Amino acid sequence: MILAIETSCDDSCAAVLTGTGEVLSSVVGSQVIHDLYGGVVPEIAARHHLELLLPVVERALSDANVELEDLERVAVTQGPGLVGALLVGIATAKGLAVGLDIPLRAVDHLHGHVAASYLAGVELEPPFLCLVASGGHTLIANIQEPGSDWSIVGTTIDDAAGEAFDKGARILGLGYPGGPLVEKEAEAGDPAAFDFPRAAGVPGVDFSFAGLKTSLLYAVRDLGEAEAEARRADLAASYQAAIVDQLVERVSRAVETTGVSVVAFGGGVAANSAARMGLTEAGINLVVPPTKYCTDNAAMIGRAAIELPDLPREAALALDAYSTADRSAR
Amino acid sequence: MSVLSVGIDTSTAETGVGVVLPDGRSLERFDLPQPGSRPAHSSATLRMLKKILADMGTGFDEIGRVAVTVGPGSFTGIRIGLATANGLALAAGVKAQGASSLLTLLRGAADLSQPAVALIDARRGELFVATNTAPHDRFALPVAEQADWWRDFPAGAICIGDGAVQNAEVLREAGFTVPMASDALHRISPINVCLEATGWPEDVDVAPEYLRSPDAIPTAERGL
Ligand SMILES: Nc1ncnc2c1ncn2[C@@H]1O[C@H](COP(=O)(O)OP(=O)(O)OP(=O)(O)O)[C@@H](O)[C@H]1O
Ligand SMILES: [Mg+2]
Repeated sequence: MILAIETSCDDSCAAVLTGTGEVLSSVVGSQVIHDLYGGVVPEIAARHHLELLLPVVERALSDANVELEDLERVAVTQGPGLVGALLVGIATAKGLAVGLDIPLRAVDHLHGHVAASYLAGVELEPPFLCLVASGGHTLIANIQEPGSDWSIVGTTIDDAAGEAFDKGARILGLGYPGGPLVEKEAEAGDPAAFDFPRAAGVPGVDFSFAGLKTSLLYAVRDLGEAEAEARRADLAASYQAAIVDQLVERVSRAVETTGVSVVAFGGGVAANSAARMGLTEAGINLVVPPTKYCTDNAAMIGRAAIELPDLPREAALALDAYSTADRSAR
Repeated sequence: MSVLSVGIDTSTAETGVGVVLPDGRSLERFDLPQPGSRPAHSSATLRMLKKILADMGTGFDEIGRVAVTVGPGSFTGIRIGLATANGLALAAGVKAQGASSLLTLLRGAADLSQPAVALIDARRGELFVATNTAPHDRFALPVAEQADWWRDFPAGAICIGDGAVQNAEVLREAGFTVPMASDALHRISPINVCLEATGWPEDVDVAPEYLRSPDAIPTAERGL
């Protein structure tokens, strides 16, 4: 039995899994307060993790009908993410693991998003590709073998796809978090109404969304406030289509160059039905975990931990967080 | 105390960990970061605790009580301390108990006949302050704005804590006593954390005493 803890951004998450990776419970304590600030405020996120995490852990244990004594190990997200937020999860996990005298495993958040693919409820075995498109990351990973040994074949050179949704939503005056709101607004719009860029200048399987965001800003400015508001559904639909097209094109190229045909789709953007439909219609053999395992959750961290070794005792006691910038330097 | 108590303080740059055994024996240790390097709260706390427990011939499974400073002080440090305490306490089947960092400092000066003022570095030109003449009044004092920021301190007081060390010259000139920087009075003793935390109400979750709100401003108030 493994207890997993995830606090890399603004959700306080805990989950209990069996030793073979079956999810017994997965609890997400969301911090709605960030809506007020138009984005995640690191200091506020860290404050709320401290308040939420203990009740969330206790809830995960009771939902799973598991006693503390039944736990065999603890897994925790080490990074990348907001360091102040990560440290709350890490300190709690370490205290609990040493107090119970059980081993600790440190999980990379991105590995977690990849491992969420195994929670899709379908038979999935390497080799497969995994598109991770979230608020902080957009990349295509190539998973050759089970375990944490996977390579990144393409990544965004600027914004993440989820970030593009969030920023677009702000420009369109839709609020936060942007993804679901843009998707909803787009339902009534024409995806061909505006011709937004698809990062044609970025070769290979890398992504770029910064130019797209600027184009939306200009389009809104050129239309003027009243007109932009009247055509908000068209703007949202066209903006979403540009993001989806770029995802589809890069994934298709990755399938071609690697010869790997199965593609798992994780990260918050995988909740977007236009993106899923786009990829499927392009003939991609797509595996999508349930939405609850696409956005941040601890079940995926626990699932990733199944494939990892226990930390040596001293390393467990000394475990520290790493940020997104630290990760790139590793 | 009839059970093994652990005391943790991570509210300043130092990391302090202590253990009090049921028979009264106690041991505490401190980690001081090298000048210019980050506090070792996250990496040092549990390693120090393991060492102390081993040196006292006991182990993690004997822990019956966990006490921790709830602040004021370093925001990140406080959270690491509280989260660590929460994890240890959960494993021990108890609730962590909290103690004010300022009141724990004052407890260290309790035997002196002088009034005492506890000062903790709050960054950004502020100090967290409490006096033993009015211990319930704890606040963030802006020191950058006025020259005589110390004017409401009790006359002839002894000033302790990292904030006192930083401002030793000014405070001594104003007639206050500031012990040498190496004096133990400036330290938040984890053993005193154990004692101070006995006043923490049972069954109440430990919560930080930040004494200052985060800097972020809601979108609505920014006029966006
Ligand atoms: N239906 C949707 N359509 C498009 N985007 C969505 C949808 N639902 C959520 N998102 C986006 O997914 C992101 C959140 O996903 P997730 O929780 O995985 O990211 P994160 O944790 O913020 O970032 P990271 O995992 O990179 O640290 C947000 O940017 C949000 O706008
Ligand atoms: Mg995420």
